[in-house]
Amino acid sequence: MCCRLCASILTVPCVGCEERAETVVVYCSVDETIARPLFDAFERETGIAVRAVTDHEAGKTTGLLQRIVAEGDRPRADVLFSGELFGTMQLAERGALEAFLPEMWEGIPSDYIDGKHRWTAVSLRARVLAFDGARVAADELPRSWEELGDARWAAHLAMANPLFGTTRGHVAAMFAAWGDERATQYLKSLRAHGAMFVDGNSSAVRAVLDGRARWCMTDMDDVYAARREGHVSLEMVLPDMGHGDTMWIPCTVALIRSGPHSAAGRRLVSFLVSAEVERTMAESDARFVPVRPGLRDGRLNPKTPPVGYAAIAAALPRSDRVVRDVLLR
Amino acid sequence: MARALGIVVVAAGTIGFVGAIVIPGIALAVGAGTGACADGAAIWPSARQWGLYGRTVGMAVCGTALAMVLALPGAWAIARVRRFSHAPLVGALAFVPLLMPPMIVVFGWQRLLGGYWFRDLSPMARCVWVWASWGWPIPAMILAAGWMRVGRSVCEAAVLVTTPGNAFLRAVAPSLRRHVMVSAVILLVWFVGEYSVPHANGVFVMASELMDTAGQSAAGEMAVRVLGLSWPLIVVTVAGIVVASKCWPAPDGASGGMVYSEATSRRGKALVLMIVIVGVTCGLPLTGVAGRRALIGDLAETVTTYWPELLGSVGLCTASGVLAVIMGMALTAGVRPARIGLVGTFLFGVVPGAVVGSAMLSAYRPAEWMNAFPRAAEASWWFYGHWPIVLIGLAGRFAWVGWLAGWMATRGVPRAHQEQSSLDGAAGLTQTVTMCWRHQWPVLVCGVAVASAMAMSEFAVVGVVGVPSPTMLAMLVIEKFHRFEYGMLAALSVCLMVSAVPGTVLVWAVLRRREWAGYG
Repeated sequence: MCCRLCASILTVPCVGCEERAETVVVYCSVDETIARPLFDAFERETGIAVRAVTDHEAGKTTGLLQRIVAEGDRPRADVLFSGELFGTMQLAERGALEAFLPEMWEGIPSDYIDGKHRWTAVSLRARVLAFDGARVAADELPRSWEELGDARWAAHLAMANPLFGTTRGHVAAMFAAWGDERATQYLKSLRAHGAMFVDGNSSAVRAVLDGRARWCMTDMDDVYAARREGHVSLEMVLPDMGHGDTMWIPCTVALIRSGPHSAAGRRLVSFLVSAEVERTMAESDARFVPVRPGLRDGRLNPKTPPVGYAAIAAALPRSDRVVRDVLLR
Repeated sequence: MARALGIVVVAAGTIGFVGAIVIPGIALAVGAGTGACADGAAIWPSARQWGLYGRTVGMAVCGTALAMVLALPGAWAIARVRRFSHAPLVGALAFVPLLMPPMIVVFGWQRLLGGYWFRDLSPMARCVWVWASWGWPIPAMILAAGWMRVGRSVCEAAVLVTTPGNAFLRAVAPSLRRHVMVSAVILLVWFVGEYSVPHANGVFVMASELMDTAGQSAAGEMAVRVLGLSWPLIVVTVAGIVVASKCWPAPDGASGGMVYSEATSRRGKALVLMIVIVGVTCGLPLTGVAGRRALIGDLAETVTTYWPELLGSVGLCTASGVLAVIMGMALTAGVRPARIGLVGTFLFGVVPGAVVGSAMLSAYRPAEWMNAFPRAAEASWWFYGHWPIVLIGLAGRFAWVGWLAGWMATRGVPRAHQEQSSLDGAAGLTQTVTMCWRHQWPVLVCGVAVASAMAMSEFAVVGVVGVPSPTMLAMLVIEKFHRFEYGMLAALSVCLMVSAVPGTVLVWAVLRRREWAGYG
């Protein structure tokens, strides 16, 4: 707490104060509620103050990634703790991330570690279809994401702007898995049948709770968050992406190249990829599913997309372009 | 000594104005111009974005109309007490809704009536209602001023020959046309650029699109994309400022002097009416936010968890309020206030916050050529990556409050007093310092409190600029809203409400003092 005070308050009146204490700057798009206890634990364990730049619901990860790109070879941050994977992969391709294999990576399957060690993925979230169980029966819902483009479902759908956050990766995964033509047709169908676009996953959930939409595409943790605060009728299903499971998107941890506090950054990266942190995130209100099979409780066993995460990241520019042309024009 | 103080304030304010408004404004325009040359299409919104403009303007027009209706009883209550400054409590009460962050009003209505009619309203109708219930004091004050100066004497003459209703419609209403026009333009421009209320209601408007655009734009293209999207808004805003300044009723010595004293009992009725209006439009939703059994526990947890952020936000917002008022003092210190100051400060005040945030980033993101000067580059990067950029962003955003405070302080001293002091040998800055600023310091302090309170609830500028610390309170509130953490949300909202209390108390104190001093 004292470290945070120094970092957060004393820097206000005193230029350069933060240099006196060891600090690490992290750009964080994992929800503040989840990330803060982790940073506090790191501070207690190491005495290094964590200064986090968080995102906002509309801008989500994309805003932070653009910031890292804009800062170029003079980055302000040491660590990226992202709520999704594909933006991090793009950042790695642009050379903004430093190769670093964290100390505590044991147990993480190779699918979740970059071949060049520029990022490590932890703690998965599922893309789900949320609905109000008091108004809609689960068997009314489509069994696959592709069926959602059908008029009877698309007309009552709410979804976040697909240029941001996990929705962006989810749409890119459709392009990678189904091919550009089918995915484009899918988006056209959503648009034609009046799917509602809102600014963020939680706004999509609110649209369902308000009765403005009957179901919405969102992340698993948004449903848990709403249920925890009394919206107990909110339920979810996990539609099939085509490989027998829904789309699961991991968080990522990466060391930013030439960050100002590189040594502290390495320690934070090692801490964030540890099994202890994965366990904490799994036990949090958001109920992340660990990438380490040994930490799972057995109820959910996510499958990685057959096309591979790299193919999805490669599809991002194409899907962004089609989203702009089809949905946002 | 007084002159030296004046020179210091004017120099600091001018530097602040250049740093917070002129440089960012130029950087945004130049960046957009450069980018537009490379991509001509970027400066023309798409069909969907024109549709968003239509939705935004439609909602703003409805909100303006409803606010004007809500303002009528408020205007009557203010006018009833003869002069705004003659009932400090009525005046201060009228300020209360304006100092409350509109997003908190949305949460309040959602909590209070979420299970009833508010939930069944369409989201756009909810936005209209919240905007109107938040913004009505602006037309109320302007209409009341018109009523006191002109309308009342016209009305009393007209009722001699016709019914009160006819007198109002045929004689009074036309005489208040300019006041109505000014009020409507101010509200319309404000609502068109407002982000937080549509965001909290899940409505996508042009301000939301701008936030998205700022978020997904790379450094080099942010200026062109943001300005490319927002130029119609800026055109509307500039046109609004021009129309408002043209329509602004000129002081009329004859009618201005025709003021009527009112019995104390009627002031009491006016006060009761004002309490009722403020209670319905502001008190009820605030009850919705704060009326939780577990509020004390939530507050304790919030303060324990977020006290560095709370202190940091208060410190930074207060500093930005001080800077905004110093800028206002500098811009209004002359015999005639600087016009560029008037346009610049009001433009940055009413365009969407994402535009101001983008202007800050465009101006202060260090250029590559600076790497040739390592020390300067390091300082520049530090400025860009730390609290100063938030400070000047907020100061630029609310410089218009400072301008108004400076203008009121300078113009608040009766001309006769100023002429007397000139005869005594004081002139120029010395006179401004000794007669205006020193004498009217409560007005300036009040300006600081109001600008600070508004900065506390500013989300768009802070969201676009984004620095490691302190995490601003407005960001935390949005985060809690999106995570459905109603306990923390209520507690943080109460903190935001508390930040409005000093502003309200100071408005009351200033009005009392002005009444006492006879400067009403």
